[in-house]
Amino acid sequence: MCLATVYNQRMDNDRILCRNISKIEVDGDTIKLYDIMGNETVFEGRIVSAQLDAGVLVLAEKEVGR
Amino acid sequence: MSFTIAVAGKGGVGKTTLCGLIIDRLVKLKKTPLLVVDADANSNLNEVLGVEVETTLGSIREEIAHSELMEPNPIPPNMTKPEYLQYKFNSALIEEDDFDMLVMGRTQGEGCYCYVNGVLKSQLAKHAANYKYVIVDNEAGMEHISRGLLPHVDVLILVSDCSRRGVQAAARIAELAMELNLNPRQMGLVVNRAPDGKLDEGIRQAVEESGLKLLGVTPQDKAVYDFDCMGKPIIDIDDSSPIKLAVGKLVESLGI
Repeated sequence: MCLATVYNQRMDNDRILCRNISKIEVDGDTIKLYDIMGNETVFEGRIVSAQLDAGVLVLAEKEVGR
Repeated sequence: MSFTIAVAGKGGVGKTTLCGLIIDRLVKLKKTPLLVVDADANSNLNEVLGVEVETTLGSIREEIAHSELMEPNPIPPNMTKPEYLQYKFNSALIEEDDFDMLVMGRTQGEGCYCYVNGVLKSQLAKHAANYKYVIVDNEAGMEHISRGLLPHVDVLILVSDCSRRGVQAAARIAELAMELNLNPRQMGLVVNRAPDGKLDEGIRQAVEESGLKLLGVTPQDKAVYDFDCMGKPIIDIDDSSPIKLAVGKLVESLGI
């Protein structure tokens, strides 16, 4: 599947940040996630992993002070 | 919650024709308001129903993708992009006298249909609550089932033609539905295009081996072929024709 479900830290249902993500923009620590309905989610952190065949993206929050 | 009927099966077994005839029967039984969903990228349920389709979710997606590159931006200044998208996708709902219809369609050129599938899923979730009955004509194979297009299904009709391969394909879709905990209240097989409306012993044996409940057998009816050749909506076939009588019996047996 080409649309991603985005998780914070780990792949648990209670860790889902957003679904149906079709576009991702990364600018330094800022990750902008856009879903198929045009909604934008901004996340401060980094990409931990992307499992493309399962449509899964895992992010990690930016640590305070870094 | 709406009562949802999903029709699935291998390609070329007559899912769309059967789905159209079930819709015709539901309308005649006043099972309305009814939302009809053509979830096949190669959409043609509208032809069976005699409905003119001007726009699909796929064509709207294309229009929006192109509009992003346009100057000036077509999104009105008083609308956010999500509002504009929702407004455009709402316009894909076709309102007929007897039912409303949503057509998935496809995007152009290379690439998969994930995006339109995702849009269809979100639109279905949004609209379904407004209807007492929803019927979905799925694309051939198992993808819509594995994608979880439907949050719940009351009746899953697995269609096969008179072939062992068709029955085996239906059994695999049933297995997948169970794996995904779709848990339809009823799930079973309809063997379509049976000569004289009767099952050959070999096919009967294949059905038994599949473990599927046989919901019905619909006959090979020349009227379907004739109407298709003439480009006439198949639902306009006479109500006393063998295929319409068999579908009437099938719908009655489902206890909708």
